[in-house]
This record gives sequence, C-alpha cells and structure tokens, in this order.
Amino acid sequence: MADIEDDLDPGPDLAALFAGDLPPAHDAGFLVAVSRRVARRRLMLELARLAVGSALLALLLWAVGPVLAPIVKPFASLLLLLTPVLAVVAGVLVLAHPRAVV
Amino acid sequence: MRPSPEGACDAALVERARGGSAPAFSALVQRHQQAVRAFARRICGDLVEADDMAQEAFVTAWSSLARYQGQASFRAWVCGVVYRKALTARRGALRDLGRDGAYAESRGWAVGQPIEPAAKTALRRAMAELPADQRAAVALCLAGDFSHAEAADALNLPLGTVKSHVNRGRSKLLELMGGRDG
Repeated sequence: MADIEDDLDPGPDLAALFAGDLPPAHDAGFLVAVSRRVARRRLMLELARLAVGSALLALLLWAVGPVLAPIVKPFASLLLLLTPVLAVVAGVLVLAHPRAVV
Repeated sequence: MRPSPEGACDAALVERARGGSAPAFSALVQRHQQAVRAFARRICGDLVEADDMAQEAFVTAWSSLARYQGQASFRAWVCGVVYRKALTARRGALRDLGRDGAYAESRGWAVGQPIEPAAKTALRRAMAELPADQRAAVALCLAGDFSHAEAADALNLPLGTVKSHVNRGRSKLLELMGGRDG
C-alpha cells in the first residue's frame, strides 16, 4: 500500500508546479462553449434524421403512388385547395416535435 | 421531485443525460472540466488547443453516452477520449511537419502566450520530452489525482504499464528539471 502511495506522490517540487497550473474549478465560459458545441451537434443529428426520414417517406409515397392514385383522384381538387394549409401544419409539427414526426 | 444535478452522483447524471437531460450533462461537464482540461493541457502543451480538445472530448462523450457502460469513471472515460484525440492530432501534425522532429517545439510555445515563470516553462518542456503514453500517465497520476487503476482505464493500458510509466516519468522529469528522485 505504501508502495502505491509513494508512486502517486510527485514530490514537493513537482507537486507545487503542477498545482499552480490548474484550470479554474468553475468556468462558465468553458461550460457555455461545450453547451454550444453540443447544441450544434444535436442540431446536425436532428437535421440528418429529418433528411433520412423525409427521403424514406418520399420513397414510400413513390412506391405506393400507383395504388393510391385511383383512391385520391376524386379528392384531388379538394386536396389542391388544402395543400397550403397542410404544408403549414406539417412545418409547424416538424419544427415543434421533430422526433415525434420522423 | 428529482434531485438537483449538482447533488447527484455521476452514474445518475449519466443516466439522465442519456435520456436527453441537458442540465445533467452540464453538471457532468462542470464537475469534471478541471481534471479533463488539466490533463489536456499537460499532454498537449498549448492551452488554446488543449481547451479546444477538451471541449471536443465532452461533445464526443455526449454523442457516445449510449456506449458508455460505466466500467471506468466518467472523468477517466472523457480523459481517454482526450488522449485518443491528442494522439490523432499528433500523428496528423507529424505528417504535416514532415521528418524534422520540430513538432514538439512548434507547439506549446506558440507566439502570444503569456510569459511564464522559468520553473513552469521548464516543467512544460520536460513534460514535452516524455513519450506520449508516459506523459499521459504522469499527467493523470502525478499532476492529477487519478489512481493507477483509473489511469489504466483512461489510457487503455495494463495497470503495471501505467505504474511503470509513472515511476519512469517522475524520475525523468526530476532529472530534466535538475531535481533529485527520492
């Protein structure tokens, strides 16, 4: 045990020099910088997730398009009128709860 | 009611951060930033680059929380990330600088750094002379308050190797700084 303690003792000279070189125990600037980088990384991950989700959805719609077309055709004129409203609602949902949507 | 992030243990904070809690991760950063930054400074030499590396290590830790199993302490795990980043940066810089071995001198003594007392400068120079793994072991166990086991976890080295690095590193530091090994 004494052996281990000896190993971890840097000696008085080194200990004093090492101790004088420490960063502050609390540094709001560092914390803010890390939080900013984490937020940026989180945003990039969300965007990547949304992009992949959107691509998959587009692919799915493309695949089922021929089946859906005859069913949707009678409502085409109504859907055309509703499109701007649906786009706005979809945008709000995506912005508010990106994880829930994709 | 949930306990405040400041009072919770690391494992609880990690669990909450994994669930998406930003305050929990901030508490982890606040708690361990000093140890991680000190380690980065000692293995890297340049203060600005070391802080940048420490910040990136915390971001990497955040995005890898799902993979952290708690076998090492949180700070040892983040220091391990710093160490790997430092090795990668060093390899990249060595590639860029070519064969001349000027790497150690070109970093750490950058223009514009505040003038330091001679002893501190001597310590930095002496640290820069140590091989990377020895320097990392010294930075954790002698300069920091890591146990040998914790340092072994951080550096992914056998315990015996860490002990030997610490002993040799201390002897070499004292020798380079003109002290005596006792």
